[in-house]
Amino acid sequence: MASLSPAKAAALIQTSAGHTLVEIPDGAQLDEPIVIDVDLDAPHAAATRVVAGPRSRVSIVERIHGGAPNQTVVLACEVVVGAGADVTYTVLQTASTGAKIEVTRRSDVDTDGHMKWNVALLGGANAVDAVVSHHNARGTSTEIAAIFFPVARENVQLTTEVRHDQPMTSSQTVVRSIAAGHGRGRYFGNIRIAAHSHGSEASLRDDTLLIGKDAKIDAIPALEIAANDVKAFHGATVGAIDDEHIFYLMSRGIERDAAEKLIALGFFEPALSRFPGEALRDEIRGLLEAKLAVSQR
Amino acid sequence: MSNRGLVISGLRASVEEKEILKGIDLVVEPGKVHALMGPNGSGKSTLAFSMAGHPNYKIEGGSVTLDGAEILELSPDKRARAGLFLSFQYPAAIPGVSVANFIRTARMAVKPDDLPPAKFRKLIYDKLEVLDMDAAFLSRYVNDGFSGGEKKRLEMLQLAILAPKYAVLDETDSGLDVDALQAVGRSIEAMRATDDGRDTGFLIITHYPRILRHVPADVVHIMMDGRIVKTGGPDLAERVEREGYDGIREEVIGGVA
Repeated sequence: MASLSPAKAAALIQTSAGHTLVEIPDGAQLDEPIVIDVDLDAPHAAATRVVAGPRSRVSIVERIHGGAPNQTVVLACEVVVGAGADVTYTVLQTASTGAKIEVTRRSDVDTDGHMKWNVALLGGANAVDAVVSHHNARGTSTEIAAIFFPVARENVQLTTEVRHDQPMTSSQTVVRSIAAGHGRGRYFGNIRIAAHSHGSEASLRDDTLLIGKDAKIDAIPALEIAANDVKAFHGATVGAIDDEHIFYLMSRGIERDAAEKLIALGFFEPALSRFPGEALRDEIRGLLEAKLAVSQR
Repeated sequence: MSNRGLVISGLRASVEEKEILKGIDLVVEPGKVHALMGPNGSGKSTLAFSMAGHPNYKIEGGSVTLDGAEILELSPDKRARAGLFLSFQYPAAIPGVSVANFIRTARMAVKPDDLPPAKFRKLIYDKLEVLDMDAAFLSRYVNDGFSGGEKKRLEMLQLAILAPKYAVLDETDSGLDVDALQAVGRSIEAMRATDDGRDTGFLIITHYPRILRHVPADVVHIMMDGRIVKTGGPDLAERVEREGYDGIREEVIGGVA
C-alpha cells in the first residue's frame, strides 16, 4: 500500500505488507523530505512507524490518495522523536470521493525533541483523523497545524491532543477549517497538562468559517490542567464570511465570487503557512481552490 | 460640451429607514480637488458609502454619474471598474490575504491586462516610495494588525495603483501624522495630472481643514443635515478653521429665515 521516494541513504526504510518503517540514524540531518505514498486502493491496512534517532532531523510527507466508495480503510502512524531530534510530519490526504478513512497518529517525544505535525484533510466522504503527541521528557515541544474543508456531503472529524506529562514542555496548535455546501466537520482539540508538569506552555487556536446555511462544523476545544505555574491558552471561533470584508474587496473592483475566494483561501493561511515548502503549500492552495469552486457552483 | 465629471444630482439615501442624504448636488471635475466638510453626523460618510454601493445604504432618489454613465444601479465592483474609488475611514482587516495578492487582484480587476508583471512590480515599488512605505508591507496581511496610520497609507497605495477616474477620500487625514499627510498630499498631487493624461478628480471628506494645507482644494463644500449648505473657494475652509461650523450654521439658518 505504501511506497517511498526518494530512497534515502541516510535513512533505513523498510516496507512490507503495508507496513513502513523509517529509521533515521543518530545525528543524521536530512535536507530533502521523505515522501510516503499511501494508496488506499491497495487491499490491506497500513501502518507507518518513524524512529528518529537522537539529534537527527527529518521531514516526512505522507500523501494519501485513492480509495473505493463505502469501504473504510484504517491507518496507523507512529513517530518516535529521539532526544534533541526534530521531526516534521506532513499529511496531505486527498482520498477519492466516497472513500472512508480512519487514521490514528501518535508521537512520543524525548528530551528537548521537537515534533511538528501538519495535517491537511481534503478528500474522502468520511475522514477521521486523530493526532496525539506525548511529551515524555523535559524540554519537549510539539506544533500542530491542521486544515480541513468538507464540501458537498463530505464529513471530516479531526482530533488533536497534546499531553504535557513532564515539566518545561510546550505546544502550539493552530487549526483552520471551512465547511461549504452540506459539508460537515467536527474538531476536538485537547491540551492536557499533568501534575508536576510545571513551567509548561500550551496554546490552541481553532477558527472555522461556514459558507452557506447548510454547512456545519462543531469545534470543541478543551484544556485539562493539573499543574501550577503553567501558561495555557485556547480559543475558538465559528462564523460566516463578513459582509464588510466582501464589500471592501468589491469596492476595489473584485467580483463577489472572487472576493469570497480570496477571503476563504486566505482564511487557511495562518495554518497553511506553517506547512513546509512553497511548492507543497501552492499545491494545497490549488486543491483548496478547486474545492471552493465546487462549493460556489 | 464635455460630460466628464463625477456628477451627483438630487441624491437622497437612507440607513435603516432614516433619511440621511436629503438631496445632494455636487460636481467634481477631472483633475480637481473638492473638499467636503461638515460636522459629525452631517451625512458625509453616508454620501461616500452610498456612492460606493454599500448594501446598508438605500438610495431613495437622484443619480450619480461618472463621465455621463449612471452608476447607482451597479454592484460595488462594477462601480469601481467604472472608475470610482473610495478610501475607507475604517478599512477592513482581512487576515490571510497578503497586500501584494490583494492589490494585484484588484488592479487586474479594474485594468485587466494593462501591465506585464515586471512593470506592475515597478509600479508598486515606485508608489511605495512616493508614500514613504516599506516593501515589507506587501507581504503583510491586509490591514491585519496595522496601526491607524498604516491603514491610511495602504488606502493611498491602492488609490495610486488603481488610478481611478474619481476618488472619494473619507477622512483620510484622521490618524495621520504630518509626515504621512505630506506623503498623501504628494500622492494626490501626482494623480491630479499625470504624464499619460490621466487626471483623477478628488472628493476629500474631512472634519478639519488640516489636510487642505497639504492638498489644496479648488472647491470647498459645507454639508449639514444631509445637504450641501454652502460652496466656495479655499477661503471657506479657512473660515471653518477660524469660526468652526457654528458661524456657517447661523448664516445658513438666517438665510433660510
